[in-house]
Amino acid sequence: MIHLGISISRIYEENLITMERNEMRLLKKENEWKIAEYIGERLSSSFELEITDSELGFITIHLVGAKLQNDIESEKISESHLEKLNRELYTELRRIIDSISKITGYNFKQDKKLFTGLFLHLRTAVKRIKNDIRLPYIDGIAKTFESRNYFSLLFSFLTALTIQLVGSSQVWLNVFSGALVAVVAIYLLHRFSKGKTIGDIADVEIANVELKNSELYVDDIYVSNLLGSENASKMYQKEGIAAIIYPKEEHFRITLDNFGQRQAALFEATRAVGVKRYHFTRKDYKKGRVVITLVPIIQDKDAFIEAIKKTPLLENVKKSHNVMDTNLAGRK
Amino acid sequence: MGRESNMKPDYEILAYITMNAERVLSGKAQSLLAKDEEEQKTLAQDIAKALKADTVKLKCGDYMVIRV
Repeated sequence: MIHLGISISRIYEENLITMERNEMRLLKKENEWKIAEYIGERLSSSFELEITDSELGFITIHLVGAKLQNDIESEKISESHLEKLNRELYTELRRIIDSISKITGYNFKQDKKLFTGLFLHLRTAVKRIKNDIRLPYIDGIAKTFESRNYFSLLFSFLTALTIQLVGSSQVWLNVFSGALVAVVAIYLLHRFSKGKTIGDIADVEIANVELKNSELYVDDIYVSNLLGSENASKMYQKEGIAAIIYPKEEHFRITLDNFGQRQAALFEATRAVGVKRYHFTRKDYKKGRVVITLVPIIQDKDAFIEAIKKTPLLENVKKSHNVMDTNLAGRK
Repeated sequence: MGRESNMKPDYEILAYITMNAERVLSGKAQSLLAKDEEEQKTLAQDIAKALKADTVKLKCGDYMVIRV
């Protein structure tokens, strides 16, 4: 699931992968290729993505890995099967585990699950590096997981420190003051560590939908001419809603104009109010405005605006110090 | 839907409905010659419905059924 999620976001951001032809030929022979094709079709229709053969290959690699791990754990096949797959990696990993066992004094050699998991992850990683597939969210994932450790460390330190400082003979008073400080710290850090959203860097306002000779305009910004039939025009005129995103600063356009970011805003909006028919995004080059418009199932303009405002800024896009700068209140 | 210039376009022209016989050309898309505007409109709409596609009305009055 995590790998699929990462793939979807990667494709949205046009960070496509290409795999070696030989590798692809081998992967296509695997039974898991068909499953990957089915998954690809479903993803393609649900998320409106174009899933390339290389992406299917990437899904296949993970499916093959998961199956192998499962088969070895349930002892359908022996662990020595791994040696046939990649002798060099197998021997090297055995050697590493042996030396770690010696250093730590724990016997990791008998842990079949650890060895198989490590082997398969490293094997996939080697393939990924060979094919130059990089995970765009690696920084985000690392940041999130690492920050958890620091947060728990900080909360326990603050709580313990408060209890020590209060040092009352009444135990309940110590515990209460410790808890109180921890709650305040959680509140502050929650706001401080909160990811940025579109609402932080732009204003989002409801806009007028207008149809001129079957061409769709939102506040004089041309959006589409796909509404050629009378039915479509009437439906859009009657039920269509639109919002315009105005960047608060000129440089925020870099973030907002990104195709993946606009797709994310549209996705959040459609998730909040549903899509009856048609959805478009369009950017206005002159003023940097971004249009999000659709025919919703639920006519709730406030929810529509709120959903766009709360769209998270994508990790890859927001790597700009101007966007990432934050303060204790969590807002600029 | 907006699209970046470096993205491969995935639209497809499915049908072209015109009243001008000179614009009925061969090709992958179905070219149809309509008698009048009403027929043109109905044809475009019916094809779009059947193929789950969208209709575009060109400024010259012709209709194009496309799938994006």
